[in-house]
Amino acid sequence: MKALGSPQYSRELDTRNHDWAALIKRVADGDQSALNTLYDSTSRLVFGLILRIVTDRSVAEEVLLDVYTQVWRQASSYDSKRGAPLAWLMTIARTRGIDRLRSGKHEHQNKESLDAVGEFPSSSPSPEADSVAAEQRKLVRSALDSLSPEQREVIELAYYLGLSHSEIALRLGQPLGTIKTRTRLGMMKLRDVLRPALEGRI
Amino acid sequence: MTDRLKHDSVANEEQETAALYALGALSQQEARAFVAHLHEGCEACYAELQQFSDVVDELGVAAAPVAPPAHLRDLLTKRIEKEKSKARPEPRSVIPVAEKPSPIPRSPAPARLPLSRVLPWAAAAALLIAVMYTFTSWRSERQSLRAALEQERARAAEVADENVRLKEEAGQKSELSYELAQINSVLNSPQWRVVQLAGLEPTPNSSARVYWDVQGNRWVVTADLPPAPEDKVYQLWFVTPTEKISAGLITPDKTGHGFAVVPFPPNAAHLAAAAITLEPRGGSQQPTMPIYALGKVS
Repeated sequence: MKALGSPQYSRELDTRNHDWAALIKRVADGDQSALNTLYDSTSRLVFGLILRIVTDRSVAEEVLLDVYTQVWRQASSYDSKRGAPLAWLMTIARTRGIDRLRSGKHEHQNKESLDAVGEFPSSSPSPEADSVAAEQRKLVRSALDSLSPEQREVIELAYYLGLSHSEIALRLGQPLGTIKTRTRLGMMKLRDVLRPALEGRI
Repeated sequence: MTDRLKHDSVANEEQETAALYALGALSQQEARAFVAHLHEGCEACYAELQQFSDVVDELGVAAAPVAPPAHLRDLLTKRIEKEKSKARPEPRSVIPVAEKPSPIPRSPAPARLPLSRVLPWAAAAALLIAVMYTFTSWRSERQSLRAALEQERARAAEVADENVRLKEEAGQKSELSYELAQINSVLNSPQWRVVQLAGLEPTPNSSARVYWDVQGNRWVVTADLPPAPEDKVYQLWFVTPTEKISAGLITPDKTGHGFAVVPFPPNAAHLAAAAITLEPRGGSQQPTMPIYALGKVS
């Protein structure tokens, strides 16, 4: 099994995914302590994503509660064959975050630069348990770094703000065709860079 | 999108579409067209989409982790306690037949607006092309995908037929558009399923269909039933492995067409089937045999 990062990382990632999938199963059976454990293990990662999307802290807090409530309600719909537990959590978080963002009355128009939003320091130091997450983040960030700034920009606008290609084109003052090409090239690059890591997983 | 049904390798345009779809950045119309293309069985595009979806799955961890305030954990506990007191979750029972468990709705949730451009599902009123939520975020095996695609395509065709039939029926335009709006709201929701009920012994020609908004926890039901006798009424049932829960009454009009929107019960475990029986006026606590129409949840 090839992976960027060490073979140990792959093993730890598999273990972590296995553990979290087991927790989700227990949540589906009505075990609230399992939800608490899952929250303790994943909420920093999830909250970080939500904050990146909605930027407003109090809104992010509400969305975080919504996400884990949804996890409680829909734990039985999670199927590990279809994706990793964290991907499932992140999808829920992204969906609800963008939902809030687009239905919110105050759009943070002044936050033009996504970079300004990106780096929120953690208020507590990351414990050893987060080493897998740290490695994962390193991989994805280096993949994003491999993109041109223009490619990265369009993908981040689509991912974090949920903009359509035409909205992105409008926002950047670029022709639609340019936006589509940048997206395609950027996504292809990401796919190629992440391929070894992705292939190692099931 | 090109007119070709399938193609062996993907051209730039198709690749763009798959990448944009995975990101949720296509317009509704383009998303529908792409899904229609996938429904035609285009493996090349499906493979592209699968890979791009995997990439999108990874992007979430790029954001720096941030510890949420400690009090949120307590708030969450309180909220879950409330959920639990509203709904008594039962231990997951083993369903003999189902490969994939049906989602267990824990409590009724208010219907949410669909995020048509974040996770792009769409069902055009005109085209009624089925959209599979699974494409955007999940991988799936080829064989089950092919079977699922066939099923969804067949369902979409049936739904299209039904909507055409509804449109062609004379009169009651506002009722029809209300019904269509309800059906479309389910088809536009992030996770939906259709349960087809077939008529049994007493009324073999009757049928019904449940449009199940899984996330919004409701059923939108259309039915074709013979008129009920004076002192009787049709009743819908959520059938689980352990119990049958009333889903309310449904009354066909003069043409035999019945329509109902029902919230999903909070304490329902795995849904195994939907059923319709004939009950005394006012309905019953438990269904009276015989069953008039039955549809198993696959």
